[in-house]
Amino acid sequence: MEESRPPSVVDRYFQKRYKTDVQGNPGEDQLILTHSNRICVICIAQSHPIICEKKIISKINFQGDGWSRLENTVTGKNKRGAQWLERMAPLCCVTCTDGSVFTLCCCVKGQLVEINTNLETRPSLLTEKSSSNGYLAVILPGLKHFNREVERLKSEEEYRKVLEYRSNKSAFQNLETPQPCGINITSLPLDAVVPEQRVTEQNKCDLQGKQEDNDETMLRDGSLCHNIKKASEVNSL
Amino acid sequence: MGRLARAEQTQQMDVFEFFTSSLEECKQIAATLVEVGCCARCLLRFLGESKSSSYKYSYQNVYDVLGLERSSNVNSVQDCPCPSCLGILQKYADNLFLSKILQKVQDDSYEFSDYQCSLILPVCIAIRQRAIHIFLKKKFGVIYSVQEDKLPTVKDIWKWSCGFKVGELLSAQFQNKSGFDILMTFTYPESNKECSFLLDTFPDVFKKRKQRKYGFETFTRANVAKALIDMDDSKFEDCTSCPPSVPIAECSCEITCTHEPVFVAGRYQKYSRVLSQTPWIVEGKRVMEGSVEELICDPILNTFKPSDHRFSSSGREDVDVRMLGDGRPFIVELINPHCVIFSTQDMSLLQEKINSCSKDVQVRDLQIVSREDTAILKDGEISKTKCYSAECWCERPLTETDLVKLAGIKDLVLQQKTPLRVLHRRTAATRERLIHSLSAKVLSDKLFKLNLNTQAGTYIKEFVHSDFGRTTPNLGELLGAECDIINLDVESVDVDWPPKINLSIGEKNISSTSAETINYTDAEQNEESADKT
Repeated sequence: MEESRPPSVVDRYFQKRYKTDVQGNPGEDQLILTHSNRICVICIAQSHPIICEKKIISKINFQGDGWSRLENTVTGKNKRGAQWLERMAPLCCVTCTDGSVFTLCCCVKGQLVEINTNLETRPSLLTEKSSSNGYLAVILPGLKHFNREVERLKSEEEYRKVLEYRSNKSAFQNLETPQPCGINITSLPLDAVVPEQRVTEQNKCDLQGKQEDNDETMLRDGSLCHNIKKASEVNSL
Repeated sequence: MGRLARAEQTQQMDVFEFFTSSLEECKQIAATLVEVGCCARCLLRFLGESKSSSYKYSYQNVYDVLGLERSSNVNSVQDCPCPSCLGILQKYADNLFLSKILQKVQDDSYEFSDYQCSLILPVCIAIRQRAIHIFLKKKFGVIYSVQEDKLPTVKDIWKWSCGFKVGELLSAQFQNKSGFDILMTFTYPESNKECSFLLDTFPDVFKKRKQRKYGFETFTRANVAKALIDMDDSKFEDCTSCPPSVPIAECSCEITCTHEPVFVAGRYQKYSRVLSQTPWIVEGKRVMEGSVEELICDPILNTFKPSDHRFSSSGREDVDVRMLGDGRPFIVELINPHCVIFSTQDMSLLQEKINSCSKDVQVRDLQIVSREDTAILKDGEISKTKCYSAECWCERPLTETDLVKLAGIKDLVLQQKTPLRVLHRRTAATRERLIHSLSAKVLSDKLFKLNLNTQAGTYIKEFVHSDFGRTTPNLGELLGAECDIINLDVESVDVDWPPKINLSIGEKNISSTSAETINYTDAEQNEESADKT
């Protein structure tokens, strides 16, 4: 019993939620740790190219054209003065030694409580301890928004299915026409594999929620309807 | 009575201490006041009697001394209330009313050994008093050059004449200052109307009073008193009648009893890891059954029967943290308690009652403390040190070098960002905290016991697991390996208050202390077995 690691801080206090293909960029997945007190800790997921392609980070910049998370000031219990960030608001830009640049997003709508300034001095934390000390920022969604924001994200199970689908797809494609990394996933039905029992409540909510949203994810999610139908076909195969 | 009879016979004035020693003058003034409708106590009042015992005499005695006709006065008293005191020193000072006070106190079933009383008078009484004073000044000149505020007040006279009598009825001594207060609120329906001329004279002062913060009350005791000072006699006479009109209505009186708060202090130990300190209610729903607060307070509330209460303690521990050692000091403020007389034996019985209710919470040193002492608790909350013991995990086994390193740490300064688990309700800040000393003992391969002595307000869990690197330095950093916390116990809260109660007197107490230690070890063993499952 003592040999195995006891449940970690993340396991004990947080629920893992995911946003896949952030801003429509295939594979750019982010992890959001949600606490029952509404605090959301924004991280990158293991499947993000920075980690899975073992990139080396040269710089993490918390500001860009027209935005700066470094200028965020928060005072008092009510976090007055905090920047109010939309889901797609950029948190930071990550530059890797191979020249690639990734923008990491907020993923949940809410107040920016803090950014992880340790990343500026030790960018490697992002890859070494992606879901703990390498967190990007802490967001506090509004009291009314929290549940909806969490609902919009994928559960661990859903995230696993997405990863499974991706690997099947790439294996399949490698058989037919071998392709290098970056698959053009946007053209593929992303959520094709959805377990039947989940189709009911959860996805209905998702759909309703997402229809209210006017960011570019809507296009993709619009196709979710017939993807669900396909899911049963896939499963019956 | 015998003395008074003599005084009556010789018509001596030595029973009273008036402004003037001339009996003739006194009689004249008294007759004038009777004409205006004043009651006997108000006669004495305007004659400057400031000896409290004088007001204990009956109306008849007063009339006799002042050589007044009996029959005519008795009638006028019955017809209309006195224009000076509005009946507060007549009807509201007679035996019938005093028995109503007794009734009210009995109905509320308060327990007390002495009492005080307070009166809230109609605002217009100040105006009426001024009017009578001006009237007397005009008529008798130099005698009434004496300041109006040198006259005894209606409140004082009520207490002089009734305080002792009520005390006898209640079998409790009357005191100027006591924990038990009988409040009489007198309302006179015409009060605002009688003050209304002030609104015309000082429109600025009284108009802006029509605000919520003044309870929409235009005329208050304070602003009317100030206005009367600002107004000279002739102006006052122009505005209202001197002497004042005979009251057309009667005062009504509401009696309310209150007891000043009683503070019960003690120390509590908590042996459960699934018990919150205060009731845990989210959006009206209970997250967890029971709480330390309720387990301690319920028996206390049943004993002291207060209208309300406040529980506070020197700091607090998390739901899953045990409170061991001598326990954590706490105070229960009992607001308006109905029962207050408890001996040390009673308190130790109450303590036993609390301790018999639950194995999870045990209380010691339970006692009644003064309000002043309660400040010690709150001061201790920030200034004192605390000792903890934590069961921790490390990704690699701890070496002898590690143990030596940790033991060598003295007054380590931590920079703690507000922990994520409380960040939603606390200000986001980086706080400096001190760890005075540290020591570790290996339990098994990767588990160890960490003992810490820290400044109050240090977040121990976060020091161990680092809270995503938000507490620095942290245990993981010190050891160069990932650490986590499994269990936490508070071993001591170093506040020397409340005073320890020595339970060595009497056999019964000795047995109860040993029972307590047995409970303690039992609870600990239970906890340990629970931990392993």
